[in-house]
Amino acid sequence: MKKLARYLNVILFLLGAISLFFSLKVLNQKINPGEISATYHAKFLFGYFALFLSVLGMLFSLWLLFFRPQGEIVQRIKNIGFWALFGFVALYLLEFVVFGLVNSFIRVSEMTRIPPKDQFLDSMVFIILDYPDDFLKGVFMTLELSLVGTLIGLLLGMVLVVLRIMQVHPQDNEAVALLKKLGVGFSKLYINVFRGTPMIVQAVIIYYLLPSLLAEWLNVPISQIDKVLTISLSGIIIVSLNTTAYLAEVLRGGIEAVDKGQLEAARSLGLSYSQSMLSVVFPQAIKNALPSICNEFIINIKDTSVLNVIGVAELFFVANEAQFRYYRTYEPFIIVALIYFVLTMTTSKLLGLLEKKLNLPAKTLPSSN
Amino acid sequence: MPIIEIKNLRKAFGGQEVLKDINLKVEEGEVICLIGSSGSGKSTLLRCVNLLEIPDGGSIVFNGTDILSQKVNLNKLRTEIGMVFQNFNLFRNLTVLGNLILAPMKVLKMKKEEAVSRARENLRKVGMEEFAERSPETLSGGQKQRVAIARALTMNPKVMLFDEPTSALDPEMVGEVLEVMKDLAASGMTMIVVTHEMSFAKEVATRVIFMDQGIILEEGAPEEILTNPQEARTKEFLKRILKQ
Repeated sequence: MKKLARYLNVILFLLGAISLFFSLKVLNQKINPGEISATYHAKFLFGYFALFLSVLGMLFSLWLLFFRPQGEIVQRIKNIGFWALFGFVALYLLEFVVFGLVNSFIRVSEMTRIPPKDQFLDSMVFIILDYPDDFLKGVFMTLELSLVGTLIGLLLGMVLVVLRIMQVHPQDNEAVALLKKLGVGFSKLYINVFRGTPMIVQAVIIYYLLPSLLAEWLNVPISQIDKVLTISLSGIIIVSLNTTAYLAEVLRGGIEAVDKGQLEAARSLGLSYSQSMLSVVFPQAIKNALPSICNEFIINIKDTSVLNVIGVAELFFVANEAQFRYYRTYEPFIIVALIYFVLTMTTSKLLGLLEKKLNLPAKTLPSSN
Repeated sequence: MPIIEIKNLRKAFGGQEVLKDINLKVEEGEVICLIGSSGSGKSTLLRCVNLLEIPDGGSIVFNGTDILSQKVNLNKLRTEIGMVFQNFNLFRNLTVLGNLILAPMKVLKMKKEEAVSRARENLRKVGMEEFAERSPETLSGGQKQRVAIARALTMNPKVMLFDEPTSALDPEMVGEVLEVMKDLAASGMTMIVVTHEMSFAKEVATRVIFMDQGIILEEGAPEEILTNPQEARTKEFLKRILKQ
């Protein structure tokens, strides 16, 4: 409230404008002569009252803005005006948005066919009510793909980054040096290929290529492979392989951000290279990379939508189906857009909390450097 | 028999010779202070002793074995040579106690209880036992460096190397670290210290070595070198450092 108080003038003006808009909307409503009743009279009276007060509030805030009067009375009027207009806006929002939505649900729940195209809100409500299981399944599929894909990608990314950061030392013998070079080369190629091509293309290639390769390699008919390698499993494989490339780079950044002295100190105590990396460098690298890893998960929630191309029944795919079922173009997509938005927002808030919790011991006391 | 014997040691970084033909013998229980201006190669010499830098030529014999031969187990060698760094390099992902017990458990395969009791004993030596559960980031520079010394001690090294241990500290924290190092020297530990603290060198060192441009220019007892240097460069360096 203290922060808001600085902008109270502007807020007052905006509230006045919103309340003015709604009151005009109410006063403009067309009414059938037969329907006029006591509630309508009350509504109109309230509308005029709100109209009057919002204009007054806006003028008052303009006066405050330009003449900057001081004094306790002005402050008190300002506060009263704020709460009055806030009340009007809240009431109208309740009336138009909440009641509108509730009314729509009540109206639509009895319908057997989708409402006409001009009734946008009702159409959306109808689709949600008629199709809830499929949307829910889509949500779970999207979450499963992105969560499992990110976790597997993280594990494989850890393996890949170990290959990526290998260095050839002068005391290595030739065979070791060659193996190291091959490892680095492979990881670089993998990362570049998967980051340099769109996931939608990777999805199609892997989905059609992998089963036939496996069938040839294992010498079994493709139909048998397809039984094991279901569409959703293929989806998880594709997301995992793609995420591996991105997270390997993220982890490499995390490792490079760890002070060189940490590895030196560990080596100077007699720990081997792998022991030093596992006990000292990697834990710090993962902590460094944690925000980017969380980010990758959120990106995956959105990016798994491209898997509809191979028929994975995630959210976008469900919306696409709804589009053809109801002959409505954008309504199903607005619904999934809202769902995606809620998913990404809640996960980013949850992961933010997690990060905060993990970083707690980093609270520092003043020190010499 | 000297515990460390360095012969004709050479090291270059990308064509620039940092160490040219270094010869040095260190007897057990000696405290050697390496002094010299920056870029003279003293830190590199120190880092060659535990092979954090691999020398280009020459030999280093530690405790009777040539450590530059292929057969030497580098990790085992390093457990016998403790090192303290300018920037402390405490493991940031571990507590103070975790810093001390990691290497004994992983390298010496010590049981946890034994490692902890040894760690606490070493923390007591440096006056840090009540900070065992703290995170390194919450410590002052002097406290960090004392923990780093305790960490090196938990491996029971035969030799301790100090690479400018007080250079990154605020002036008021230098004293506490030097105090710990003096106690260590008094306990008979063999130490090689790269330092700019001339008072420490004068008081504790058994030998002072002045390095310049990759060679040992002058060495001798601290009184000799610090009060009566023979070489012009040594005089110049001491004049500059004592003026500060």
